[in-house]
Formats: sequence, structure tokens, C-alpha cells
Amino acid sequence: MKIVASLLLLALSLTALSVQADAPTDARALEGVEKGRVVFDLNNTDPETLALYLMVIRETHEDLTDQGVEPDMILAFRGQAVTMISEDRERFELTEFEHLDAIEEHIAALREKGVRMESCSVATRLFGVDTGELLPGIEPVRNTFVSLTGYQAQGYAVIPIY
Amino acid sequence: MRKRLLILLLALLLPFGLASTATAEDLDNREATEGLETMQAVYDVRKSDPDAMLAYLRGIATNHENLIKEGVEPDLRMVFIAEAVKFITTDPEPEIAIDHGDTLDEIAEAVDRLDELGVRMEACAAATRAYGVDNDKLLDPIQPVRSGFIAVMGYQNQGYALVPVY
Repeated sequence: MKIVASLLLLALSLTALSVQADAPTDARALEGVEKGRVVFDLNNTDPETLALYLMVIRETHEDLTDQGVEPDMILAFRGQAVTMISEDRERFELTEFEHLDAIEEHIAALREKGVRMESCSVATRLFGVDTGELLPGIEPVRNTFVSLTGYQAQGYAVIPIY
Repeated sequence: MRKRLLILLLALLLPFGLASTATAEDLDNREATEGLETMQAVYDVRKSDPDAMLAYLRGIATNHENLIKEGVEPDLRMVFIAEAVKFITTDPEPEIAIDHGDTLDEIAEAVDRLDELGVRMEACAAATRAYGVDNDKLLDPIQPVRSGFIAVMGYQNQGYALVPVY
């Protein structure tokens, strides 16, 4: 029984290895890159899309780590996206709460991984979001246009999420 | 319908706009290309409309030609992400094939042209998975990669400028 289990485990491992070998990689883009420095410019207008992209960003964090590159990620929320990262959900329909829940979960997981997050004070002012009610881990900054400029000058890549 | 017409109009006008700007004798990009021997750029292509995407693919080929005219060596890359991957396969969804068959043929030609120019092209495997596109059926010059976002950030970290095509 023990032998059968071992063989099964071996077969499964080999299958996993062969899948791994066939799977595409990002070797060309990561050539010579030790640290994946990136700022995601998040400017979505609906919570479902934002939740979907946060999920992809989590996957991106894992994909970097798996390929031996240390992620150095920043999420910059601006525009209407700032309304979706507040504990105050009054402006949303009940049907959108599941997406807001997903956003909260993704943000907590990304925070756990050491991803830094900030929200634009120009946007929070324009959309009437109280910065005291931002989700844990999200720091208000003065102006995201300025921080996007600054991070790029510091060598961070930018990935727009609109 | 009105939106479609607008998109079509934009798609039709755009290449002319790019081309006429570039071919006008008195216009150039010398200030932007000053001191550069090589121009490294990565186009992050996320178009959801094949006609608009075709117009941009032709525009990118024009960019390549114009850089050479200005004495700058182009080092251009493209990464197809999100819905854009639906239009770069030899086995498109039936609905897309019926509605946009001619455009898809022209996209394949534009991709071949970019390949001839030396533009390197990649497609996001997370997107091909999400939209049911078989990586083995991508247009020949396009290589699947694990993550389009990592491609876009990796090339920027290597010194390539980002050109969003949304």
C-alpha cells in the first residue's frame, strides 16, 4: 500500500514537472532583473473590474516570486477607484457588496505580502471619501500624479489599470 | 451601432493621422529623440476592438519606420494582454471570425510585417487562459509568456519605455 502511494505521488510529481516545463515563462522580460519594481496605477470605475484586477495583481506577485524575482510593488489608487477602498459603502448598491468584499480580501492579502498602498487625496476630496475610513494599510498621499511621476523617476515600472 | 461607427471612423482616421504627421516634411520628433541612438519601448496592447487594434498595429509599424528616418534604432516590443489576445489566434471564436474575419486576416498580415521589422511580440498566458485561446494557435511570430503584467514591468525595469495601447 505504501509502495502504491509512493508511486502515485511520484507520478503526480512528474506530471506537475512536465506541466511546469511546458508552461510559458517570463524569462526574456525578467532577464537581469532581480527586483520587480512596479507601481500599479489603479483608476477603475466599477468594483467588479477592480476586484478582478486585484486578483491578477496577487497572481503577478506570486509569479514574480516563483521566477526568482523579488516583488517591490506599490498600488496607487486614484480617481473613482478611491471610493471602492473605503469602509464606508453607502454609495454602493447591495448587489455590489460581493465585489467590495473581494476588494477588501485582496487588499488584506497584498498587505500581508508587504505591498505598499496609497490613495490620492485629490481624488478622496473630489469624491467625498473620508481618508480616516480607508481600508487598513492604505495611506493617503497628496497627489497621485506626483507620486506616479516620482516612482517612475525612482525606476519603478508603471502598469495602468483602467 | 453609433459607437461602432465612431470606432470604425477612429480606426480609419488614425493610421492616416500617424502617417501624415510622420511624412510631413516640416514635422519630426527630434526633441524627443535627441541624444538617443536606440529607442527602447514596450507597447502594452489591451484593445477590445479588432478594427482599432489593427489601426494601432499599423501605427506601430509606422513608428518603427519613422524612428529609422530620424536616425534612431528602434528596439520595440509588444505585449498582448486582456481581450486583445482574442484577435491574434489562427483559431478565433466563431462569432469573432464571422463578424471580423477580414480584419483578423489583416491583423495577421500586420503582425507578420512587425515581425519582419524585428518587433518582438508576446501574449499573456493568463489572458489566453481566461479567453479560451490555445497558446499553440497564436499567430506564429507571437510567443506566449506566463504573465503580461510581468512582461510589461520587466521590460520597463530593463529600460524600455511604456506605451499603453488601450
